[in-house]
Amino acid sequence: MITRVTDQMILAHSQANLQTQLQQLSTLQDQASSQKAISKPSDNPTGIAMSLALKRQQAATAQYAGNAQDADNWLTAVNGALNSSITSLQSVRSLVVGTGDATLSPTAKASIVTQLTGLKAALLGQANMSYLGRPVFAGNSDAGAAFDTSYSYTGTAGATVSRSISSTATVSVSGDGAAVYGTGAGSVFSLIDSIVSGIQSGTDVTSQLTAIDSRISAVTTQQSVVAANFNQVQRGQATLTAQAASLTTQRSAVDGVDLTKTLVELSAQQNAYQAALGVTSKALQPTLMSFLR
Amino acid sequence: MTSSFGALNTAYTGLVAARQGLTVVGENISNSTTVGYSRQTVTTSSITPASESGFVDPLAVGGGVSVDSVGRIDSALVDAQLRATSASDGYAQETATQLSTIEGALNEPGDNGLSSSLQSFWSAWQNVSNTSTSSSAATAVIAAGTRVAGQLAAGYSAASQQWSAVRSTADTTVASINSAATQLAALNGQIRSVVAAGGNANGLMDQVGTLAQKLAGLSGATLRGNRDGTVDVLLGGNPLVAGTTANVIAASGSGTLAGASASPVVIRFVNNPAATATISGGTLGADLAILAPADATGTGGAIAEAAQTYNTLATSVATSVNTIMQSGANAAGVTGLSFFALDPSKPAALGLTVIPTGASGIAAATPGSGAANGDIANAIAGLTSSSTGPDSQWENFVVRIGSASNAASSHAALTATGLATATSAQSSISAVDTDQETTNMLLYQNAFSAAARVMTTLNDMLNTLINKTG
Repeated sequence: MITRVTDQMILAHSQANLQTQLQQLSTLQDQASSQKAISKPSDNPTGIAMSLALKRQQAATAQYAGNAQDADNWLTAVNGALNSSITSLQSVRSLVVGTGDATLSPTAKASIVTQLTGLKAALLGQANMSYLGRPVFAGNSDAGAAFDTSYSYTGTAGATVSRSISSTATVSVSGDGAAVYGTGAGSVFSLIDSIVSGIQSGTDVTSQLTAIDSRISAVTTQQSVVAANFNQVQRGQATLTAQAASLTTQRSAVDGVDLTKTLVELSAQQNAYQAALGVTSKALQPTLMSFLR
Repeated sequence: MTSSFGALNTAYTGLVAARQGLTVVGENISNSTTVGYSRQTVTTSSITPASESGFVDPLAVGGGVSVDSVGRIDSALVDAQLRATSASDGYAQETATQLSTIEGALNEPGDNGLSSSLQSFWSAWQNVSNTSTSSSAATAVIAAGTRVAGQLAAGYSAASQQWSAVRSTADTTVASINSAATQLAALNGQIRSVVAAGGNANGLMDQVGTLAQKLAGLSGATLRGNRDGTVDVLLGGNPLVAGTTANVIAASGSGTLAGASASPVVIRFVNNPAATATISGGTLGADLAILAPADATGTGGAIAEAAQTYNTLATSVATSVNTIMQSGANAAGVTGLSFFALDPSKPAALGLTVIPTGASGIAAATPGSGAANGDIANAIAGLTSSSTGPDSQWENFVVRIGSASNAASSHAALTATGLATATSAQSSISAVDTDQETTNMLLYQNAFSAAARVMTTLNDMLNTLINKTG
């Protein structure tokens, strides 16, 4: 127990108390103005561990969301090309059916040939559909086009382009050009070429309808694959959006500031500081000297 | 039977004592704000009547008052406590300051820290995977890799600079200790001769107390009092000051972080360089602990451990990325490409560089699966979720430094409270209280007036006796 109190003690205590109050005031002001409960790791070592881990997950989630968007765009391009191809193939089919009419004038035949040639070019264009410079039916090839002028396929059959939409899930985003359009002499382009030459030479080309039908069925098969992948991407996107929201909430719970609480504490601290200032200003005013005459 | 004039002398001793008392009050009030000043008091005693052998005067009163000494009020125990708390507070404050500096260099949490750079780097790999034929993705991943390497190098350099700064602080502290020790030895000499001559060495002892407390705060030195009023200062059991001799110390060992493990910084006595001085307290003790080299268990000096972590991270980033990329192929099918190079002649964090300068240097594809394949880049990007990957290592390091800094500041707050308590205790005993001195002043003033009145009264009596009698 300290029995003797001296001026120096009172002054030292007052100074130390003022300093403590001011430090607490400054900490609260920092928190209120920066809106961060953790400004350096030592503020809350447990919190910083969680905060950093959550931040890393947020970055990964944002990246996966970007990947999913990319996958979405690829699949949209593939799907668009497949839809157009079906339309084109159905036009080819009805034209071929039309050639069965024996009364066709040479002009009409010429017109059919012209239309078929145009449809073949359209199909070739659809098969070489590209997204951001990458042909969507060519897998991982960098050849610039899925099918060259001799109709040979530049990609590796079965090899697909895939995108990661979570740390474990990947989704295939490319179309299998070889399966849809066929390759070389077995391709839909060669088929149309042979139909055209058949019409020109006067042979019956309606026997080719079976081949056209099997092509249409190849396209629809691929469409169902693309649809399944599309579904996966959309489910992934929904999950990623929910995850991003949840991570943001979790992170702000760890390193965010409860503004109301901080402001209340801040004004309480300001009062305490003013009180300390007032008391200190009166601490040493009266001495025995004041009462001696 | 006393003589008529004896009482005059008795009153005179009262005047002298009161005047001496007032002088000391004046001294105390003048020094009420002097650092290290211990208040003084006058010790008086009554003069016993002379008793000669064989003759006893039953009516003899004393011969007045004698001023025996002007004493210095202090407590050796409280002073020793203050020195001990100064030593531990000096250590704790310096440790907390240095750890807080290391912590500041981490730039975490925030967008400028290594965690953000690593995340950008992995994202850039993911983009390479998505658009492996695009040269802009390659440029981005090269830039992100360069930024990671730059941040690791900057972190290592910051640690290295902090080490050098602490090293030179240690040199400055050693110089302060030597200067204080030399002054203390000189004061010892003065005290010895003043005390031997029977003089008042209170002011000199105040100075010794101040210097001893400074030495304790700097180096954790302890004090040993001697019979002749001098003190010895001991540093880890060895005399820093012995009587009038100061044994100066010097810091030896590496001047740079790189050489710290081969030649750790130690303190030696200049006159006995073979033995090292053990310094476990004070700011110098903290500096020496901070400057210690890294060890295998991660418990070495904080700065060296931080630098070591930057090196480990650099190696880890380089190895994990290179291992995956070497198994892949670039657009032309070339395999075995590395992304990072480590210069073996430098610390890993400083020697980390990015090798590729364009898309051709980056192997993003699984060999044989098409030039635009991005599976290898995707695998590299996946390193971010590895529980032993660079991100996890960095997070663990940040948490470790944060915890250490947090513990050090809590401890520093504790020792600061301890120091305040000890200072209070010392102030309570030794500091000047104005009210008390004012009271003493009144006391001595009244004593002086009363003694003067005795003298006047005696004078009147003698006047009556001499001039009015007969």
